[in-house]
Amino acid sequence: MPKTLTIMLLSGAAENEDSIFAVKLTKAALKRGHKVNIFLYGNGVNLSKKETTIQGPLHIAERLLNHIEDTKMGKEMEEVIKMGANIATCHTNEHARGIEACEYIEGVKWGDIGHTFCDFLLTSDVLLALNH
Amino acid sequence: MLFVLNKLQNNIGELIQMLGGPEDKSLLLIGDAVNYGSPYMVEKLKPLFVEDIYVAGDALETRNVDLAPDCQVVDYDEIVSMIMDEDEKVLAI
Repeated sequence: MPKTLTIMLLSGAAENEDSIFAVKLTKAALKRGHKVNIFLYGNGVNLSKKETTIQGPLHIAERLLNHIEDTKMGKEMEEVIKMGANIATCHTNEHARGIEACEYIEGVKWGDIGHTFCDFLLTSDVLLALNH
Repeated sequence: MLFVLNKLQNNIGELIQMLGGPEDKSLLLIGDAVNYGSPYMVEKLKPLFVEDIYVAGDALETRNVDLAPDCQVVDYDEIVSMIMDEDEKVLAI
């Protein structure tokens, strides 16, 4: 029987593997017919934004740069949204990180902890909070 | 009761004991927590009423950890079953 999973994701890309795990789990759950909500909170709100290329000189070795680029999750987030994941973010956490005005990945919903996350909680069978 | 562990914490045994009490438990190890699948750590965890230990295959592949024979390596399809269907309580710590 299909159920609803809510993932509260508090880690951004390139910090640890939480976002990679969340995306892979979301894909697998959606393929099994479950509904998935992802609430981006803390540094996780960075995943709600379109990725922008840094302009100008980079003081970083190519090998490390390639490693970091591999952990970016923009395309993965777009893919899970297209698959049916419901993704919302906390706008106050965005504001605290100076990214509130940056453009969302298409399909990510503006949200807050008091309403959006509570709605997720009230309609979920399983809550998984991923943080470090 | 399923515990999802994604990181190493020095008080992990106390946390599991405090949250799970004497209830039978399963552990799902993801990320850095796959290190808890080592024979030494499994010996420490078993007395906490830990019945089964599952390890995410992709996290294991990127780390040089020799698992205890009791651990079972799982893929994402199996993880979905565990989280969504098999356990009444799921705690991520």
